[in-house]
Amino acid sequence: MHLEYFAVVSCALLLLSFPIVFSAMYKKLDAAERYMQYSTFIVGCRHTFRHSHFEGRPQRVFAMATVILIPGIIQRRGMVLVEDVEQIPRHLKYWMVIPTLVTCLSLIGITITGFLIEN
Amino acid sequence: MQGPYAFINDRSQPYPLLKQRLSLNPHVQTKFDILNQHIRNTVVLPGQLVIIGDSRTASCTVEEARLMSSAQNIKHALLAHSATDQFLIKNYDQLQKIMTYASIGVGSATSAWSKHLEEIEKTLQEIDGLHKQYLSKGTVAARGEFVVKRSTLFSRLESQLHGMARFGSGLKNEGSIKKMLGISSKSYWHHGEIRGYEETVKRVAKASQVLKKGTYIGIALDVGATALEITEACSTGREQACTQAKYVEGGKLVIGVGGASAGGTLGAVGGIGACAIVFGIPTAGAGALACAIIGGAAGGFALGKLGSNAGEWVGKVLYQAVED
Repeated sequence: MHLEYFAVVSCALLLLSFPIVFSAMYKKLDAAERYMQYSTFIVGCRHTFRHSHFEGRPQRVFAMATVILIPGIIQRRGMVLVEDVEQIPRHLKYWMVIPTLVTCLSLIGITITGFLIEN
Repeated sequence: MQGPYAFINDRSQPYPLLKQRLSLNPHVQTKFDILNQHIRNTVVLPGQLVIIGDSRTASCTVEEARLMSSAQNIKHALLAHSATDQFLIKNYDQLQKIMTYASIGVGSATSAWSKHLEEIEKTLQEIDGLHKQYLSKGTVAARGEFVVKRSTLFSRLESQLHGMARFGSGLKNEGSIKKMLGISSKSYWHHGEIRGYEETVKRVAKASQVLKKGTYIGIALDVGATALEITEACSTGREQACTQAKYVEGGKLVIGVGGASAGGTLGAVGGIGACAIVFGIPTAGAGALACAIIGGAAGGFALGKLGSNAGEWVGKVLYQAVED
């Protein structure tokens, strides 16, 4: 019974993640990326995904969230500065991180459900 | 200008307008019409070859005949794969890179391309070194110096990234296809390079078509398969089986496609992130693209499959809940 709830919630989260990601990528991404113009991680991702669907904006939202969530680790490779990340306003951070986490959680849920059903 | 030349048309334009723009001598104009029979009195599409004849003679030379043959082949390749829209032109470099990784475009990567990528990677490594240097010092005085050096390195990186579009065309020219196509009729190509263009257009036109349609074909096939399953269940006459199929197959489709899309996107970023953090591969360049492709493909495939399973099961659960 618990697995059923878990699976339904995971699938619902996945469906919910699409409008949230789209809002973030068209309403807030450009503003957030302006704070990261000296990050090789963000500049590199933007360049690499520039010809993907939607100009690579979904990927760029996820890249921004990665930088916001684990700045210390990325700084070790010299791809971002923690102090640059700290300058991003809180509401923009939420706009980048929440869609990414919702997507990740839903995918984790779906992966677990998928494996459990297969077994 | 001596000898025959050719250039690539950069935008859709009527043949008379193209001819007018070239401002040819009156006696060359007749020859121009003969040489460009493949585009004569049509709308000349982007990517098509336009031939400028040898002004020294009124008769056709062997070189001009070769160019005419190349122009026909290019036209055929572009039309056969419906790749005459802006997609091919806009995505030429990216397609070329993808093809290189997919081993389709073996030999199309030039040494200039590799060298250019190395230079970008070198700049990224210098930025990395600068960061380490600054972080080890951490003083206020060091910060000022760091900011200046960082903006210098980033402006260099920016110009190099812009320059990335100039290479990778697999041709021995100084500009990208985008640039060449963008600089209008004033740019002329020597016929030696046309053969390379002809070959590349054939390959890229086909690949662009496949890549552009790939996602949609995948989704269309999934939708088609779902519709078939539902139709089959409904045609057997049992209403219960028909309703169940709608829930189960619908759930399988929505979560399968949604999962593959989200998984592919996250996988691509994850691929670049993992390569950069674990192996120190620069986030722009050949290595990054390879990581993105591998990560995206793996994520899309895995989540598509698991999503289908989960969606199918959730469909069953929902059906049972509705039935109860």
